[in-house]
Amino acid sequence: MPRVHDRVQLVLAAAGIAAIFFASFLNFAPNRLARSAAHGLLEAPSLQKWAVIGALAALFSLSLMKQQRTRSAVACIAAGVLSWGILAAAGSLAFTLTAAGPPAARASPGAAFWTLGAVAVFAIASAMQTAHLGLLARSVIGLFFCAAAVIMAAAGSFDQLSLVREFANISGVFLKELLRHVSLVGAAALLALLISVPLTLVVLRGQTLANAVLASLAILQTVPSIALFGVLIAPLSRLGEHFPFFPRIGISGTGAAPAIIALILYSLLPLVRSFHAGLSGVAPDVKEAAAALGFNRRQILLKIEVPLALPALLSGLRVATVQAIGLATVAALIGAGGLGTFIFQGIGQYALDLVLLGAFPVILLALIANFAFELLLRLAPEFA
Amino acid sequence: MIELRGVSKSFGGPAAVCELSVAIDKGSFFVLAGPSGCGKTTVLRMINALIAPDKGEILVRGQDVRQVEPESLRRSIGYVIQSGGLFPHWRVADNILAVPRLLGWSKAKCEARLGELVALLHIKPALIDRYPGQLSGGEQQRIGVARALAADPDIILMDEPFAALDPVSRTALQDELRAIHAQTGKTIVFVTHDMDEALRLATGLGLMREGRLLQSGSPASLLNAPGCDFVRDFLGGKDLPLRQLEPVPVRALLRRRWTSASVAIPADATLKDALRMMLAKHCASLLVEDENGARIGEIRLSDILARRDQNRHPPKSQA
Repeated sequence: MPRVHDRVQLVLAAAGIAAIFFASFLNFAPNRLARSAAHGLLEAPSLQKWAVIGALAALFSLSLMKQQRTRSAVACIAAGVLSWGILAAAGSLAFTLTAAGPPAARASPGAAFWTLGAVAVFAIASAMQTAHLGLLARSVIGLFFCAAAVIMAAAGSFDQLSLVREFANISGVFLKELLRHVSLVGAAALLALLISVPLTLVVLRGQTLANAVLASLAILQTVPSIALFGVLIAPLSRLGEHFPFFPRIGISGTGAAPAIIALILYSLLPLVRSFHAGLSGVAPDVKEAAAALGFNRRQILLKIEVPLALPALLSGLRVATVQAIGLATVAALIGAGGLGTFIFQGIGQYALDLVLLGAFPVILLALIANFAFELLLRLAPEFA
Repeated sequence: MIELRGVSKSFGGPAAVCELSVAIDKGSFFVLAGPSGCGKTTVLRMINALIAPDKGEILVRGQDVRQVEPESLRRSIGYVIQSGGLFPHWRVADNILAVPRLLGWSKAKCEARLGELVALLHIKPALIDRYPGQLSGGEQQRIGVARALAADPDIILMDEPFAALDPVSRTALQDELRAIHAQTGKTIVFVTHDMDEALRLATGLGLMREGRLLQSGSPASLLNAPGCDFVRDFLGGKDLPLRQLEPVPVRALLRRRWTSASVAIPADATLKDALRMMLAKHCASLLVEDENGARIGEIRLSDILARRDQNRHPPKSQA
């Protein structure tokens, strides 16, 4: 019995093979609402089909390979081939199917497609993990895969997939909503930062005060987001009725104002908690030395405490931003726009592809934000 | 230079410092010694206004510390703490120049001063661009001392600066500090619980217990006339006769005559050193040399014993 050296890749390969035989690769329906028929990967053109099967076979056998470096390299290549295979197979299968069907026909990726996609992503992630790749190598590999997918999309490989056809419908507003989403998050993050700094300074003054503030922020955090967005409508519209000035500058019960306020409220806990932890984590003897040498309160804060607490401050900002990107999706419900618009439209019209068009960019934005902050944290100098 | 008059301080419990009065002369090396928690650090922190006394007054350079802006007072007084307290995110050079930069010195003046300090404290030039985390404990404390001296203050406060160091680094830094004191004539207030260190460095010595100053004066006066059993025990207990030899130089018992002794000792070594050498070399007299190595006389064991005899029944008076 051969020894298994990489259980993760073995499980991934098995999942992929099972998906090929037992799940539908592409769902084909004459229109959006009609019941769809399942089509397996094996119906795809032979080059793509065998690329997928070959890649899975490679993943399967490499789990028995002893050499760790070769294993990681082979896994990366196999995952690349696998990604290309499923994308190209889905594209060309969709083309064949829709060419024969009515104009409103839909070919959308099925469970096997998503499973195989996940297998490819996890295979790369696991390979990078075992090879202990640095941030640079990871980003190069990630960029390479993204670029390849973009080139295939630009070449029109996916044009007949329902996701792409749905995108063609909304492409006029997509960029607008994406920017809207980013600016909602950006405005909320910036304002939350401005509020949390003085709040942290207040919290640092005493343990009782700290407990009170952190506890109330924690309670705020438990309020469901839809409820908080809704609750803000009433007071803001009341405000607008009494002071016409506010609606004139865009602050009213619905739209961006309540959304940004809610996002700020949710961001305060991670920000204040990490700022507080960071600043109170600065060694007391360092602060004592600074005071004894004649630094005043402000100089101790700006020259000693803030630089030393910077990693904690950045990770707090990272949590708050990633969280806000997700939460801002719900803001579409109160008319604030953003990528959530597509998700709720999709749910309303029973158009799952539209939901995905909203959800994917949100996930991507969150990953990008996370990555950017990780990069910033790496850039912070090390002192030892 | 520094004067405390009837100073008391309590942190909500029993008094940390109680009715303490002491005057520290300009240019003296005053060591405040006592067991942990006796209030010696509190005294130090009151001198540069990190802590305000509940009662009494503190004069620095003849001025009540409450009348001076605390930051400018602290910038005019060097301060070294036990753990070093170096800023981990600043390079060694920036750490050393912290106070000069607070005072707004020009870049050229800072550079020049850095060079002087590196030479004065024998800091390895390679360390200048490192971060404190990359330095050994002894090197860090050396930088801490350099930082305290940076703006050339006439007063330096040191809170158990060498307590956490290994014996070799500790002795080296003690010697250097003594040399710097002799060279610059700065007023140093030094807190320690280590009696060997206190006697090695002090020109003035104060012993504290439970917030009170039990006795103060020159090391010799305390050793020869401990005011109470606690002072006697803290100064050395059974070792007191040996310690009494510490503040006295060989020069004091020098006989200016030709000698047949073959083992030499410098004239400014202590009587304790002389006794140690006699024991090691099995001889009852030593050849005494001056700093140039010229023989100037001899010292005899019998003279040391005779001297010790004088102190067998010390007067029980408070100094």
